[in-house]
Amino acid sequence: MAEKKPTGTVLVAGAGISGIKAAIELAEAGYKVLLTDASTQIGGILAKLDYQFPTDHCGMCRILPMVGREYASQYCMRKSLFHENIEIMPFTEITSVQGDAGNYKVELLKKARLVDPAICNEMGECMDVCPVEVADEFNHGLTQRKAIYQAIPHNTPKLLLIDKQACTRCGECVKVCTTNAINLDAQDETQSREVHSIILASGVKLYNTTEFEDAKSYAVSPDVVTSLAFERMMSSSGTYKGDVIRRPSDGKPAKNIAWIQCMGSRNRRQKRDYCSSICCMFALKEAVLAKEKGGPDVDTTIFYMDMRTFGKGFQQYRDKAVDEHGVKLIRCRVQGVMRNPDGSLQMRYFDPDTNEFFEKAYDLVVMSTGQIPFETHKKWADLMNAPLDSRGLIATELYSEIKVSGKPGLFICGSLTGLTDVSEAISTGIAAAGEATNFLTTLSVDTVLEEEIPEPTAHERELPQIAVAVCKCGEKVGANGIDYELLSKEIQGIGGVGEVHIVESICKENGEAAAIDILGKTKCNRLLIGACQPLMYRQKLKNVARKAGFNSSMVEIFDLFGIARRGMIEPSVKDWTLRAAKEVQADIQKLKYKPALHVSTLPINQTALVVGGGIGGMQAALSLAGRGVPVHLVEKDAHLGGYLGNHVEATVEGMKPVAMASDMKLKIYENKNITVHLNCEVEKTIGSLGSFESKLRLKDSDERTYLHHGAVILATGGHEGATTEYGYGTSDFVITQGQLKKGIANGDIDVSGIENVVMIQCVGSRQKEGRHYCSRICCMWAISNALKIKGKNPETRIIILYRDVMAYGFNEQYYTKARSAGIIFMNYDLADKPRMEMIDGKPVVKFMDTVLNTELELPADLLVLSTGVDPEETNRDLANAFGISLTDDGFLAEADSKWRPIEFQKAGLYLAGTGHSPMPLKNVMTQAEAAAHKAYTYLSGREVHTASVTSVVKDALCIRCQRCVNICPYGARSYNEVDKCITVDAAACQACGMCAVECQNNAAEVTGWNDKQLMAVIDAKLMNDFFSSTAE
Amino acid sequence: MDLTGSIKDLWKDIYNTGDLHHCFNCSTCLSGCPASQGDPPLLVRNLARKVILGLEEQLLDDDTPWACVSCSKCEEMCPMDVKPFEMILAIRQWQSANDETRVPPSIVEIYKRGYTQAVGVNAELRDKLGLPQLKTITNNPEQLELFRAMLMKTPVVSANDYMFGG
Repeated sequence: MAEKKPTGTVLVAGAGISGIKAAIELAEAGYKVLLTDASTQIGGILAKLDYQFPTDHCGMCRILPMVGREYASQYCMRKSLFHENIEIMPFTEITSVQGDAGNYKVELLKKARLVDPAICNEMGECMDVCPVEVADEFNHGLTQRKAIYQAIPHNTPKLLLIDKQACTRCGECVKVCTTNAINLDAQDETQSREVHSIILASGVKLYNTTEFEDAKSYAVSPDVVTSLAFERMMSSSGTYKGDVIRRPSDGKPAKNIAWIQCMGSRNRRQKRDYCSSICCMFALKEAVLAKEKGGPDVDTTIFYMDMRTFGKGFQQYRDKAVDEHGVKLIRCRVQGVMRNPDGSLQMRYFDPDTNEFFEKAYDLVVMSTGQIPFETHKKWADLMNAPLDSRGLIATELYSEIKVSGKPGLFICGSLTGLTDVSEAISTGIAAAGEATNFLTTLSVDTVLEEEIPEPTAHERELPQIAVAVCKCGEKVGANGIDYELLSKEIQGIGGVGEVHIVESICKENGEAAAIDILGKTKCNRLLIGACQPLMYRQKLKNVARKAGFNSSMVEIFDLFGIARRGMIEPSVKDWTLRAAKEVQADIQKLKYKPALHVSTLPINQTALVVGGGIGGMQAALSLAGRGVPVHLVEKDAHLGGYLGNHVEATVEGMKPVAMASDMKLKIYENKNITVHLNCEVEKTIGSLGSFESKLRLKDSDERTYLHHGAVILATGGHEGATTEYGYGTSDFVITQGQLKKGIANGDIDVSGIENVVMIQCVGSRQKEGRHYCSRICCMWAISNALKIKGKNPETRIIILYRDVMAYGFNEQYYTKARSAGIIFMNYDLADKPRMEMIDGKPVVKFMDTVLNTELELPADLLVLSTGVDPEETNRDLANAFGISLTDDGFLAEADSKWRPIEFQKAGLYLAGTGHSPMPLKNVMTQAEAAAHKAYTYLSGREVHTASVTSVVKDALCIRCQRCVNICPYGARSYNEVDKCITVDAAACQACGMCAVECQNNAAEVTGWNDKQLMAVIDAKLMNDFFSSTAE
Repeated sequence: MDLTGSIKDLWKDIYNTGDLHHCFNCSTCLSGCPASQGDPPLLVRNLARKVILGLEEQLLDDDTPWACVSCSKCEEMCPMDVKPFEMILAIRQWQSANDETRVPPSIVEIYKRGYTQAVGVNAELRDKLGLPQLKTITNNPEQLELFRAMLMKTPVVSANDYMFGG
């Protein structure tokens, strides 16, 4: 008798977006996840933000798996998260961790909410009667809340809790609660859980202006707010409900707003010499949005030291903010803020563009506050017995920002790796899930086995007879609840309804069993379930329906409590019940006209194709092969390694890419699961979703290879940018950073005799004519090379001419090191670039020193140009071959720049590394691991279920104009030349409905949402006067 | 200006600390400096740059370090702990040591009225407000003469007596 292996379980500590993403990825891979968070709600910082850069809107829901298209609205992620494999535990602290990798015993402290979320039916009357009002910390004290409150204003379920400090124990809430969900004496609970692996995703503490001394000269008025408080002021669920932004002190609209960057960071004296990486971007975003909300007469000014726009799309966002939105950027850090007698905020600054001092009064000042990481890292290091590195952060392996050094089974992601923006929180989250999965496969654990419930027949051609199941919340719903008898009677009277049954607590096990029993005996063929919190239980309710013999497409679910409550001020039981009955009408109409939906399954070919044999591609290939997936690794050059692996000996952090690539090559050739195709390019790929056929062309030959595969990872990399500026190509003394790096490493460049070196950053980059993006790594390359030269010859004078030093995160410390070694950094303006003149065979660099406001010149023994990173030209051919798109700059275009950075729109295709955008080696490794994990999860599903809700073609009405083909964003429609009709690839169709909108003849229809159904629903609502709000 | 003429290691003579080169030109020292309102303005950041680049002639001729009123705001707020006030004092010392014709403007003021600042000017206002008058050397000609004679005995004043006529 085979022993059942335990289910792989992972603890994810911290439920911000990175933790949530890691949890979802693990859950989708079939593992159980414990997702804890010490604060009262999940969502982390992102729960507070309505908008993210550079898209200027939310989009958090896009991290959810793309399933269940019959649920046309994926529930809003900012409201909540549900997944069957994830146990969510907010308000829970981890008090101790014993044991080791594969065998952790975790002690948890579940803090008492005093309101039981399992029983609470969210009527909210308790909040109405509570007499205590305190400052709402979610809105940074800008609004008030009660002692019994909802931690996040827009959350679903509401997850009410009681603030024990504020509560006076008057008991009014207990009196009005109809389900007895409140227990004022509830105690914190301790729990002991066993897990196999742990991912730390807690994020870090943020700089608190009330706590630190150096904020005192700025925080002189309530109108000086932190960036997070400002986000709440902009939010539609925040202080001003998304309307015009006002001054907290007097409520006047803020017409003149200033941002102060680097608050609390980049400060050597306070021992916080690091950069918080994201503040430049979010300040730009906030400034743009402030103008959008307040009108064009709102003035926005950002006072900064360096404008760090190093990520994908960030430079373009900055340029748009300045050129189109009129955001002012001033390179000057202000010393303090003074409060004028009229309440305005006075600031004095030096404008480097005009070389003048200005004193201006502002309505509102926003302090861009960054991270304070050391406390959080130390706390985890102590708890987990993990090492700290020399910076005071959790030590990770040299080539990984995810794996904790010397602690297999322990991983970090999100802002613990360095305050990350959304896309890196997501990719580190996925990579952490990937590493955890790698680890779990070495243990003797299993994935969750899905319950196979056969789908009963739909009986769609029978006369619709609808069974209605109305779920009672146990016996606890009392006088203020619903009159179930009256409700049943009202519903029974609706045409199409066969039987009405009152069931109890379907959400609980015995309630579920009883409901299945009752419903299984009905003579009806369609089912309508009325329950509370249906979003939470959708899958469970559908399973109940199936077990009771109803085809799941013949089932509808409606929210019994929430909708009845809406729009009524003082409901009486009768009014409430009648209103619920009216609402049910609309759902019954929809169900009556619903067609049966069919799901088909397609097998997924269990092989992966990795295009690009650089370090990123090799890492992805090894990761997949290590999990047993056969991989075809295709490389267009004659050898593996790519740019980094063939040209870069060492990075400034001490990583050695060339050596690393050698190691990886050995492992690749030894691995039986990997087949390497050198000198090959992908000519064409056909197929979709799990079944692709790719044609490879061997260079300079007619030889073709055909490969079948299920998933694809594009890791096409990039190379050092080319230039003709500054005399490059005409003199031996003008070289690129890459050439300098190589020359120093192999001894070709002898720095012992060199007196003067000038480096020019951003050559041909960060400008509309040229590379309109920041290549992110050049500043560190310049610093690395400059330090190397100084190390060999301390007497050399090195001047680096820059526009913004992109030493983000803890790279700031290398920038500091470079300056203290005597390397001189001088800022130049794009409008006044340095010039080069050859005099006596030497490049003489002439430039404007923006500090002294004088023209300087220096003959350079070596002029080094940072030309950035260009994407591979062959990306264009690959875009054609795979049917994917590129960005304007020629890099691979991902599905969503924030939320789905390593996937393409087309399912089964992923990307990683510099092909996405220029990035340092550690980030390449993270993305490669993340892409490998996504591809692995996809392949291990073995089958693709085409969505039951797709678009269909009503052929008789179709005039073959093909407008629907052109408008489909997913490439799911095509004109079949042979059969002369429009065909829909059901696997690729996402049921967005664009085709139905576009078709003039109603020949395109989305099943389950046809015109007949929708008109019936609209009629039902209008007929029943649903929009009147009188309560009699 | 051709930087080949600058003195790379000049900073070691002026302000030889590990702090100077940390300056990253954030302009915090500029924005709050009271003496930056003067004419010519004291631009602390620019002084640091001149020291780092080694622009000897420019620094020797620069009077602005003497306009500093020692409020210490730059010192307290400098994020890179360059200790700019210390640097200003260092520049003053270096100037005085390297230019025998340099007599700091403040010494001229001290000779003229006994103090760097004009502490006697508020006599009328103090009367009006009912405050006691300050006992200043400026208003006491005998004491002022004795004071000046004392100063004339110092090398820097006696060597430049043409500046202190009368």
